[in-house]
Amino acid sequence: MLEPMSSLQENCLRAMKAEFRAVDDFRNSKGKVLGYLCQGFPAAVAAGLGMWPVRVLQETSTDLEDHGGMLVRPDICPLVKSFLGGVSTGSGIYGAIDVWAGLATCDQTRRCFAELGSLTGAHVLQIQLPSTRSDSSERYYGTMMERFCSEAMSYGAGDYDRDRALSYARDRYSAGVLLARVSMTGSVKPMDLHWMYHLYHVARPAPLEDFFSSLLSERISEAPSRRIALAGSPLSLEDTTVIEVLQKGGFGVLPLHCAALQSVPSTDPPGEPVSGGVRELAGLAFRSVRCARSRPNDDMFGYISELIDHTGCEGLVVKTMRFCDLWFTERERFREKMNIPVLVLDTAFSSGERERQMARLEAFMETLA
Amino acid sequence: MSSWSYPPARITAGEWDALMKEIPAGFEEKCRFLRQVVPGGVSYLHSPRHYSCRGDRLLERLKFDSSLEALRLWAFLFSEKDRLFTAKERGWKIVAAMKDLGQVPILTYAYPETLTFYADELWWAPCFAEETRLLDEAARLGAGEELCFVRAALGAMVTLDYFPPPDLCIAGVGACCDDFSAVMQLIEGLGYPVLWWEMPARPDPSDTEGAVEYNRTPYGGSLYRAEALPFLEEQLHSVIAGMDELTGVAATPAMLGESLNLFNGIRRRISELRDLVYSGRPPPLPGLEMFLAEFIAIHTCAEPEESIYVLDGLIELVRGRLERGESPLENPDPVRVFWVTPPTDASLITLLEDLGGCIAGTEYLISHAFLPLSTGGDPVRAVAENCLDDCMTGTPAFRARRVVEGARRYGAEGVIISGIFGASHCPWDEGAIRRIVREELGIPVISFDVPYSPGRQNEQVVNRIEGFVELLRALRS
Repeated sequence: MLEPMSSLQENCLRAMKAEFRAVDDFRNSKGKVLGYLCQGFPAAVAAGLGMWPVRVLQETSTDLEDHGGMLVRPDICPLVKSFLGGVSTGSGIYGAIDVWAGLATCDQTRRCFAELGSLTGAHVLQIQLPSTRSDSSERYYGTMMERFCSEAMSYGAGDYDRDRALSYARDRYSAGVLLARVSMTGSVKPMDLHWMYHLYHVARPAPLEDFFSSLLSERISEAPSRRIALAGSPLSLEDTTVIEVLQKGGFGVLPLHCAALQSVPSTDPPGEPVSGGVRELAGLAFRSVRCARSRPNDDMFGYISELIDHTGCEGLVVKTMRFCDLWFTERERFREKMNIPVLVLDTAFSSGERERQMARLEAFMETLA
Repeated sequence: MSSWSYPPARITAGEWDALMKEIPAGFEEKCRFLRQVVPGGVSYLHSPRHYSCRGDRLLERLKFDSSLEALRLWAFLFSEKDRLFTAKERGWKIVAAMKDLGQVPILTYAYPETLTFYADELWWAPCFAEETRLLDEAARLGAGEELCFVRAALGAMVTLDYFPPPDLCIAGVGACCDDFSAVMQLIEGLGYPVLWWEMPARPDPSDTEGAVEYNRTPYGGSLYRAEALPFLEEQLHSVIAGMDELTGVAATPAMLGESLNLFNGIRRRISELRDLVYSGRPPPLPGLEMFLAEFIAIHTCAEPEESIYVLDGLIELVRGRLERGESPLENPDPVRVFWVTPPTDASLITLLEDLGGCIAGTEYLISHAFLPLSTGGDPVRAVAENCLDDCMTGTPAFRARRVVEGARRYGAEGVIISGIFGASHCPWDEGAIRRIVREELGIPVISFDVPYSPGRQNEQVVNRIEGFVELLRALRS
């Protein structure tokens, strides 16, 4: 890291560790922890089944990538490879996951989840997030989610409790709205915000809004005069080079990737849950997706353009993972469609990456000057 | 052909060129495409050298079966673009099917005055042309070397020298490779009209799914979740609606049924041809001709009617050779190799046969296209069921089991998996196939990526195939 952890980050880390201890207690009392990767999975559905949902976007490393690389050929996305390494070694949070929501999104994750059981012994409940954006696809996602619930119950989850799901979804919504607000205003430093989002991915939502509010009551700073938007593949907790370098360079960051703003409930169109029904939650999750994978993916471009215009960002960094065809092939269209300078960074977790990314980001910031 | 006395052999493009003047006029007269468009049809029976001179230079490095029927097959395939341009000039609608591998044309050929081609087919254009123009165009638009060769389809949408501008692109997405999904999006970005439809994933059942309803496809026997079929039917109806709008003709069940029967005829012929050739010891037709013939099942070379004549000729030829115990292969007892994934350098199949091997079965990702389509019921449901047999939408283990089934059926002694660096399915398929083939059959498996090497074979790949054939030979003794 370029700078020591801030007190806000330390608070988030402490809260995260406390949550992981609570996960252990939950498992000791026969509770099931469900891991998932894509924000298109409605965590509240798992909560409605009495499970503890955790979005596992952390512990990415060269070591885990290497472990994953022993199970599959190297020419796949480093995030997927690191995930495979994490599940196979059972390290850290991976060891606490009882079952995975095998949400098939891109081809890499679809095939990874299809093979995960054979390669690692993990238990996976398979489901697919359609890539088309039609009403028909949304209905299909709802049907699949209902089947997912039946399967989860066969695995040992509880009966689906609509009130429990709704309560979880509403708490998550409140915390998410708060995160969305500070993301848009830029009143929290980029690295601090990054930690808050990652706490949001793993923690129970009930106390989160209050916790975030308490953190922010003392930390709200003046929004930076200059901001850069960050889009592309999801950022794991450890994958911080881009954010750190931009922050050190005096820029604020508008985090438009799916581990940040895209993962919190949308207020436009309204994303507040009303009934807690499986189909409702699946529909909200389905409509929240603005991924390069969507077909067509006009929504993704529209979303990014609109928020960049709204916030006055001066540049856009599109950070992609190596071998992620879906984001990387959009690089020319990003350059063509955006009215601001665009830097496309193709990244991995391997050694030497950090220096390479730093050099390119510093050059990009200089061009904005 | 009784009047054709050239013995079964594998011959070069130059040798074919010398033989062209001996072709009986009656045979040449039969080889006509688009009889419905141009009175009397358009003659297409040219030599491989002719097509090589038009740009497909790899043909100079291949060996071809010496029969007239095989010549017709090659010429039919390489004249596809002539059909597409001719039809477009005459006001027919041109449809680009993308990614579904065999289902969309069954629907689109129900409509009059339309031709359908597969944009995906363009993956082999840079390999046959031995030049990078299409790939360069694709790279300029964002589809570079990180994608497999299907990116050439994007380049071809710009250069428009392989096909005219399509009136509609029908793009299957969802449970498909990331490479072509990305390419299709960029194609839409060029301004082409694209109709997107969703191909549902087909996961394998797990232990906890007892309460979940699974069904089996009628011919492939593939297990699928019950909710997938009605969804898929809905998706295919959206394709039909798009075609209705494009053509101004509302397809009736009878029209769809007629098209389905036509494709069933093509599939039945290819299936029979595969069984005859791959069971043959030695095979009565070389692997390259089979490579071409198999793909007719999905793309029909943009003319289903003529496809049937071409296939009938091949079946008759093969039956005759089997009766007479003839083979074009030099080795009377070649080592039998099951080939997985179409090789981007087609000359590797020639190499395998030069080394004393033969193709004994394939899984070129289109094996579902050899299965019959249900008749007597709803044609859309029949197409949807076939879509659920597609290896691409299933798991790597599913595909591996299909490889095992084929390798067992045709008595393969080894399996070659030719991969493509960067293709999203290859890293996963390769491991599963290797693991399951070894468990179930205990035969050697070799896998390698085939790099783009215009004008020559990649030496590493050559060495590996040589070593593999030697290994299989050694295992016999």
